[in-house]
Amino acid sequence: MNDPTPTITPPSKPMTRFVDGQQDSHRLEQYQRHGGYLGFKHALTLTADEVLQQVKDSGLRGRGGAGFPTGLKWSFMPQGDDTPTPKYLIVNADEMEPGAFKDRYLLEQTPHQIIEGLLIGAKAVNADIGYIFIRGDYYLAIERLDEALQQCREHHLIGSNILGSGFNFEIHLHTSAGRYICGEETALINSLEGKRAVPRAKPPFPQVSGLWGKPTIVNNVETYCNLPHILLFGVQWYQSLGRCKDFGTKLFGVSGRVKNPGLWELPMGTPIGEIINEHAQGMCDGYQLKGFLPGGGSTDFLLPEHLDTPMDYDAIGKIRSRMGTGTITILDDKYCPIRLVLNLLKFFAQESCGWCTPCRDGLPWAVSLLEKIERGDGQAADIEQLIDITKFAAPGNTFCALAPGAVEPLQSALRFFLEDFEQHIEKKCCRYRQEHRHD
Amino acid sequence: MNNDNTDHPPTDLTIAVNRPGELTALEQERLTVLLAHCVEPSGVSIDALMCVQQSRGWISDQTLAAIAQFIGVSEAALDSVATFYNLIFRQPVAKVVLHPCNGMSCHLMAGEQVEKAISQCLGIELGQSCRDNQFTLIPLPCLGACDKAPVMIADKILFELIKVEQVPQILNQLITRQANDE
Repeated sequence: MNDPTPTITPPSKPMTRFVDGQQDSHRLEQYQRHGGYLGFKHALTLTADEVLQQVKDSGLRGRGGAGFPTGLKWSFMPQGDDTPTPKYLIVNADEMEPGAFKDRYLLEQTPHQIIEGLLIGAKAVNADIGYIFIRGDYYLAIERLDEALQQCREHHLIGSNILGSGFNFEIHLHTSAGRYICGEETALINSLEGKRAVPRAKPPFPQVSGLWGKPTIVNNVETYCNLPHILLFGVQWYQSLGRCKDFGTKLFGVSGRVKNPGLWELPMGTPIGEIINEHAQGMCDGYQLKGFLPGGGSTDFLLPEHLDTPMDYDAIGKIRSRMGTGTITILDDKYCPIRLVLNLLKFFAQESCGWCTPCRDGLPWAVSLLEKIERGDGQAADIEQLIDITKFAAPGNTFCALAPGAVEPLQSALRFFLEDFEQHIEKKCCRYRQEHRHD
Repeated sequence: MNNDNTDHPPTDLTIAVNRPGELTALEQERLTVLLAHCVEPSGVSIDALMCVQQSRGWISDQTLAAIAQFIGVSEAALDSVATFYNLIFRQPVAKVVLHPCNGMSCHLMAGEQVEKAISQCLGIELGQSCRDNQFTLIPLPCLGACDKAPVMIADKILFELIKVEQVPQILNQLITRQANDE
């Protein structure tokens, strides 16, 4: 590849600058016109340790929801001649969190950005084989990734002796057969091995014993998308982007009854109110903001009083929720909160892999109690039982984070919207159903 | 399980329909490629099921047994995988599977009414197929297009911002596409 190196001004929206106002942002030519693969080419001139150090120094935290420092995660990968090979690096593109729609956008619009991030990661941890584990329903994304990988092969960006550097890395695309639990990293690994996607006990952690018992790292799509820019524009630039202790930009989204639902790349730490009222242009006429889930279906509800909070991992954690995926879902005043929680719990109960009791038995139990309350047959004791279930499924009682995540919207709904629960029980009906007929 | 799809056989795979317990030469070829690229035979289980389903629409008991034998895993092990995943069908489905999204954002934006309209329009409940074998209705969880809610995927097309009154038109569009493909 002998393309002229374009001079690029450090961007304020690194991840979406390829997309804004562009056709064909998914094509190699377009991606390269905006500096695509220059970050990787720079990484090829560095040692693995130097690349890893840059990622560590950048302070990048995993964008899948948990916010674990990426460089630290990578440093657990055993290195040296006597470590097992091949080493695997995996892109978790199995987006299925209710209310999350950021990865689909990146997968469809900038498949090359993900591949470049994966290549940089591979260089940093000396990985040999990459997998992109993609949701089976994301047809357009699958088509474009397939095409992008083909283009990369033609341009010697993957395979052996990449760009003549002596660096070898192969990438495979795996289409999931569907199940939310595949997004859990050890379940994802089981699924890649052709098994039922049940989570594995940790330790051993995947970095030590993952896919086929070999060292394996799994990161989210958006995490990989940050890497090309950190390498190309440097750590100092990256840290200048955030509006808080967390660095870089983040894709934030809003869905529900707002005037302009959508997705925007904004500095980490942008206040929630700014995202909802400026970018999403506030509530639709005739609707009031009752509450919202800040980052997908497995995060705790927050209230209008929390709008000043910056969207970053720690700030949202302090007000007892999680930034999660950063895609906000709006609960308006005309939709029954119990109905919304019921929708979520039905999803989590259905998607439970059935491996451990709090999840397999607890979640369907919560569904039946919520159904009872929602249709007006609930009793006061049902609320106590729901609270018990949230404790039963708390972190530490289960193999993975599915059940603890599932009860987050439930426990916060019981805290913030208790009056609605009590009213359903007292009046033996749903007032939302009577007033707004949403079925 | 009975296979009475003979009124509408898959276009290029009459053998697959009439002899569900045998893999076609093309299927065998594809499975051989998968096996060649995998560390262990069991590793191809999901891909093998998806690959065969692509031509047959679903995985019958006989087909499952044939795949298990070909890739060298037990039927029970393969069935435990087949029954785990949402997109592997162990019962016949119609030509087009309608997947309206039942995620929370779609429901917040009146997605349930869209589901109901489809169900009424076709005279089938969720999970059922039409008698003419045109549509099966299986809602899926969040399809990742929440800013365009309510949405539906069918025939690999994502329909966005669906209004109840558009449902008949969408169904007709899908029937026309299907007819053109045949």
